Amino acid sequence: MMSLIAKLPQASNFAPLVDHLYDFIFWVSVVSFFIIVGMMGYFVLKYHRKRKAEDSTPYIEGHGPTEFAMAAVLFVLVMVIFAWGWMDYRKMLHSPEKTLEINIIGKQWFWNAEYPNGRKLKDELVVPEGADVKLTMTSADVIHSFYIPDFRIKQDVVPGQFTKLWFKPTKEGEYTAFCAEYCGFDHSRMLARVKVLRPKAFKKWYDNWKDEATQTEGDLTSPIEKGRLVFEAKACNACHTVDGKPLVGPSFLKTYGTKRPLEGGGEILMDENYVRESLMDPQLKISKGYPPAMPTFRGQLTDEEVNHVVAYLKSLSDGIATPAPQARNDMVQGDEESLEEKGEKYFEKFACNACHTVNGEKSVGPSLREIYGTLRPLQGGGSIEVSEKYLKESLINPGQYVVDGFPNLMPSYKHELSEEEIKALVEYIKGI
Amino acid sequence: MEHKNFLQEGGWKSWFVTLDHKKIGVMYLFTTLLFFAIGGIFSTLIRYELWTPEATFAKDLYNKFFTFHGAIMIFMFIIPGIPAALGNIFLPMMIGAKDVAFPRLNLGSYYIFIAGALLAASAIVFGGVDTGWTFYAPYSIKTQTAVILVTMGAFVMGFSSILTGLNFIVTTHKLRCPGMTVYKMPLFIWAIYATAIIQVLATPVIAITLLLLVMERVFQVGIFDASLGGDPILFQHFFWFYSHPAVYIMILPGMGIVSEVIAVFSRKHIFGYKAIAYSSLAIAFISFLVWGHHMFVSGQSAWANFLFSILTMLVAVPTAIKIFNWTATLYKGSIVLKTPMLYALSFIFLFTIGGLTGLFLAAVSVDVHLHDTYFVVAHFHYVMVGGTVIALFAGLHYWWPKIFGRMYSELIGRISWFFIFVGFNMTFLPMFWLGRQGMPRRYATYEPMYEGLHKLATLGSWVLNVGLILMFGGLLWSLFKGKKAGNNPWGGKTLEWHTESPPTVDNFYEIPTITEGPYEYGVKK
Amino acid sequence: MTEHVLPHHFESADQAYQSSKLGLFLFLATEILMFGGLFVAYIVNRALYPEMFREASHHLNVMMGGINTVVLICSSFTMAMAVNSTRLNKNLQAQKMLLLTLFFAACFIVIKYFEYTHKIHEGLLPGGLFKYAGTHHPKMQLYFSLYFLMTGLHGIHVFAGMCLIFWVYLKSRRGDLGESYYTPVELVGLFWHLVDLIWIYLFPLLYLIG
Repeated sequence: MMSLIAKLPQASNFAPLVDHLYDFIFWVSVVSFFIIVGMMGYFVLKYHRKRKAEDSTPYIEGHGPTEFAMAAVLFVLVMVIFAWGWMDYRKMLHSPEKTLEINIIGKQWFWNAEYPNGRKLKDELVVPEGADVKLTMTSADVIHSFYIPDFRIKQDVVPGQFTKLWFKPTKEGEYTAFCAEYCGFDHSRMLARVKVLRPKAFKKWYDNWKDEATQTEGDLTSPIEKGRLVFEAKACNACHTVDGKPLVGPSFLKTYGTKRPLEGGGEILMDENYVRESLMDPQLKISKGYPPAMPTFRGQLTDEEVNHVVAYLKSLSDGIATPAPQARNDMVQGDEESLEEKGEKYFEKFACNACHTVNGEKSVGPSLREIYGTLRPLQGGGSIEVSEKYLKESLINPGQYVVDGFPNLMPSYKHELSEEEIKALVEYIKGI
Repeated sequence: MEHKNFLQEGGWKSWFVTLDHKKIGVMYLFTTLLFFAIGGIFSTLIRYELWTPEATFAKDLYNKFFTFHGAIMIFMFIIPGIPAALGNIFLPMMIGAKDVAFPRLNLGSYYIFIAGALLAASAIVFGGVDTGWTFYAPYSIKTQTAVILVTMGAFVMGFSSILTGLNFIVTTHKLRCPGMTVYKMPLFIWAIYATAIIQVLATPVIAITLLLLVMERVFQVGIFDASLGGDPILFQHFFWFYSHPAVYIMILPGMGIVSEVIAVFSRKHIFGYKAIAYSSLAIAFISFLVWGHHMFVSGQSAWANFLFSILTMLVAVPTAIKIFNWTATLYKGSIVLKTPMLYALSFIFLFTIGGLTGLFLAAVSVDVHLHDTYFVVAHFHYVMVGGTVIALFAGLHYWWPKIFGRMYSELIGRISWFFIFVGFNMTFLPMFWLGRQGMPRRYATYEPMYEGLHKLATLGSWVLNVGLILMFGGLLWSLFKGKKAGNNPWGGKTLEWHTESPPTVDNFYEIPTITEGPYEYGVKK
Repeated sequence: MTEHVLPHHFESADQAYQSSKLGLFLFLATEILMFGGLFVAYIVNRALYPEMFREASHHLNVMMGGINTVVLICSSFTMAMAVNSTRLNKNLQAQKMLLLTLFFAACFIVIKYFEYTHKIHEGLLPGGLFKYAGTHHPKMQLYFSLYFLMTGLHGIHVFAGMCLIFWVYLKSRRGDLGESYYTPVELVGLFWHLVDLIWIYLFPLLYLIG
């Protein structure tokens, strides 16, 4: 009930600005409204037919000067509102030089956040009070929008592109982030907790995460290091060096953030969008002097891996030398884990558990307990054996064979899962 | 000599093949009001869900409710609404013509409208649609619901809108009676004309947009789908290029009705005739330049945001001129508060709120906070319902005696007005606060702190429903039991009041010749 | 000719004629806006992928497209002749011109048929159906989506135009048209000129950007 009277907290640097203009427009509106409705009410009372006979009204066609004056005053007012709104908006557009950069991936129907040190959060954001934070966001499927009312910030999160948002939290506390662009079934539940910690508390939280077992992944590597691993695993280094020597393709030493001349004229800033585009459609904007030989990595890199590669390339410009592989025993977990264990991790990482339980309980989708090898009735008649083929198919083309009694809502994971991840998930589900 | 009136002409079968613009208008009237009722049922379901913070219905069902509520209200009720019903009946009469320029095309438009409506409605049977009436890609490409049926239904209905607009433009240009210069036309005609221009120029763009969306779903063309390298924001540009001008298709005819009613019921010449006439054209023109104000946080460029914000501010000026002029018309008038006038005055009250709240949304920094929240929902319901629908009710009561030859009950008219006015404000005023406090739109479940305001809104919707049922019931009752109306119960000076009530088939016994304007009330000094 | 009966809501034949003409021009405006949407989609995507558009354009047969352009221009000429002949009461001549127009339009459709079947054979199809075996730019299916959408929508209008021209031909045969009433043939003629005009924009944009 508090919200019926109490105003929304001002928890970011932008909140007072937005509220100030909102209040100005509010009072302009209230005054205008009372003038109009007041005049209207007054005239209706004073000139009611009981008081003024119908054949005694004067013939008035209008009054140009009054009209013009009123229009001019209004024009000035709306231009003031426009200019004020625009100037505040420019502050929202231009983020400061030094920010804490967090990558956000919006997916149906949850938020993934990844910090520069590799720490990951799901449906949660932890930020330091008084520091500038920049979110670089993309969607894995449909358009979402990241909205924190108490901060007065919002930005659509679009698939295939990066959008940005920056802010400075000004008040310690817990707030809510909402998805503000309709995205399907669980749009109303796509919320995240936003925790603003005092700087010391934040530093403690940020640095000591290796000791807490609260993450969805035990992976301790930083995004930069992960990016370097992807760079090697996907053989980028077969054509691109990081030491300045051109090979088949340009070297990436100190290229991120610079303007690159293109084949056919023109130039482009090497930012996240250009890196992503070059990975997906390498033929589009080829660096000057290089052949169009780069293959596409569409379907071979997840959005997260793209983010990691970006972080790695960025680090080559920051003067941070490529970090030597750190000798932590649990750094690269993959080789010691079984396929089934990996599958269990992916099951949570990709939020399969948002719709499928493993304990027999029916949810949005069927429970996956003891389904392998059984016969499942299908929507529209017939049935199908839950084989490896069916499990794989359900991940790639879920609309094809929908289990009877469940809605046709499962999104396709064709572009999010690599072959290896699909294999692991199938192994895991087989064993439930 | 007894002439049959247009309602009595021909048997009931003649209605299916009639070329009489009045019969076609009456058919549109009852059809669109039926769709209003169906759209209203969906809104009642929405408000029922929102009574409590937790889910009442299955979530995908709620998503289908708000999609159908929006699509039905917009494509099947409010866009055809005033132009196709009241415009069809009164445009020819008010310019002293016997019919519209292309009567067969007019009947064709009606059948095209029905075909499109049936096509869209069939989606209800085939699993419904859950994209929202805005069909944003990529969700509208991926969802496994009956998107193609609804979009193609809207596509077909769009042609009905285009052909109606085309008919009205030619009628206004070519069929005015002798002496009726453009500056002697009633303001309702100016409004319908400006609306028709938008209908003709904007609707083809939604046609191609929806066609492209269908092509995306069927052939994976790759123009809007990000996973195929397309741009989802391009869809938004295409979509809003029509859908913004569309809202002016909705409001301009309503404003035309308000001009008529205010003048007649205060017995005064409308204040600033030319200003109101020109402002209709100005609004129609500017409406094509502001579509990007729906996309301030979409990821479009800063420069686009700058342009769209400043242009949007511009449209406030001609709009404010109208409001000022209507109010000024009341000055030294002789005002009688019959039901049409109650609605016309309510329009000024409610539309002013709706218009002013648009200012919040046009300012980019504030829109960042308010976009996609309940503030927007409140804003557009104030302008569309508080504006257009209220104006429609004003027009319905004003012209009811003329169309049907029967007076509605003034008592029922006033009581139902009261319930509608109170119920409407109770439903939608709290939503401004909800939006300011951060409640997003299209949410089936919400944070408990918003519950109080939602309960207030749901109660308001029931008060509003009572008013609507009373009003329509009263109007229907009057068809059978209402007092017979004379030719000119209000003492109006526009040409339709020079005909019988109801009019004969050809409207006039002879085409009139005009020597004076439509608002010659008052004592000249 | 049989006297054309003036609809009762018009005061004079001239008023009816002027109204019909205005109505048709408004309709043509809506057609331009609808195709306009497709042209915008073309422009946006060509600006993003200029190389791809050039490469894809090479798959189109410039000669066939060129012949089609000439064919349509000729058909516009014969159409204009048909309108003129009707105005001069030379109805037999008008009917011959209308048939000639239909012939040219049919040529256009036939050539388009060959073009389309060739594309289908090569797998150069829109969107998800694209299956071209040779090396190609990864985005090429987008070009062919636009190609089929634009020429397809245009083709539908050519076909509709043909039906209208045939209808006018029948009217002329029946003696409904002549010096005092030629509105149908003039309006169909204007529509046909627009169909031709749209092709004159499509041809260079799709075929000549190599």
